[in-house]
Amino acid sequence: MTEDFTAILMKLREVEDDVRALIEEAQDRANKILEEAQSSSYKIFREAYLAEVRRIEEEASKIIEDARIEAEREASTILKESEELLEGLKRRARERFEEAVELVLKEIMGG
Amino acid sequence: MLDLLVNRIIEDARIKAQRIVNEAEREAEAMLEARRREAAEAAGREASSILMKARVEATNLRRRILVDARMRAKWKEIVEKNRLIEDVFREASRRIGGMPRDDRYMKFLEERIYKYGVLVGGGELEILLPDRDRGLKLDLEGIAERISVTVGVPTTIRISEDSLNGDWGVIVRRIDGSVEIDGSPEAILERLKPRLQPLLAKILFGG
Repeated sequence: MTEDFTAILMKLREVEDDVRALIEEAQDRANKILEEAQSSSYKIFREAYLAEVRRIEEEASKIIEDARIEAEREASTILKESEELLEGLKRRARERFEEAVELVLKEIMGG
Repeated sequence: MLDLLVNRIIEDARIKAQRIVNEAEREAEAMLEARRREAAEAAGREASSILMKARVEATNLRRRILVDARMRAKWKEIVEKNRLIEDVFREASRRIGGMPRDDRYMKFLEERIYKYGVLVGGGELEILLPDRDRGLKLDLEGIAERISVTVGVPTTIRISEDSLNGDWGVIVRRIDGSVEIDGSPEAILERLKPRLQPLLAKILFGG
């Protein structure tokens, strides 16, 4: 009976060692996981920060590019309207050309 | 019986060990997620400044493009108007150059010589004429007499050996070269332009 009890105690001690080893191993792994997370947190922060800044900068570039496209469209309309105005101007000038030449002739010959 | 108990203890220990690892993984993931959030917030704080600058730049760019377009349009209009006015002067000059050398032209030329002779103050004068006008029968003595009377200085006029560049007009100068009135086509037109350009613009463009 005493021998059985001793054997049980011995077995339990072995198990206790195994349990301790298992827990310690788990604890070590846990510590390592946390250490790795801690050491990579700056990198994570930096990467996330840069990615966000890049996204914002792209948005900013798009604002400028959209404004440029819109302004160039308006500029093109302004130039087109100006061309039409110029054509009207030339047409009128052609119609009044003779009168203008006569005025200059009169000024020169009369002066 | 003992084996069952031992197995149970080992199994419980394994579960506990796995829990420890799982908990660490959760904690690590939460830590990294918090850093990501912090990064997004930090970048977000810069965002308003970046976007504000972009909007200001966009407004300035738009203004520059539109001002440039309006200026280009205005510039083209000015250039074209000037060109059309120059066409008028060129045509008028061409017509005078091609005019028959009849009484009208002779009168025009003699009046110019008289007027310029008065302006130079009379004296010994010579006139430069275009090659085609050198043979015209101009009353130079009569003109000289009129100048003498007007300015009170005895005046003579001769035709210079030099010719005037151009199809029409006249240059009157003192023989000593001290005074000269340029009545070449270019000079006459240049003198007329400041006064005639606005009138021509009104006729041609109505403005």
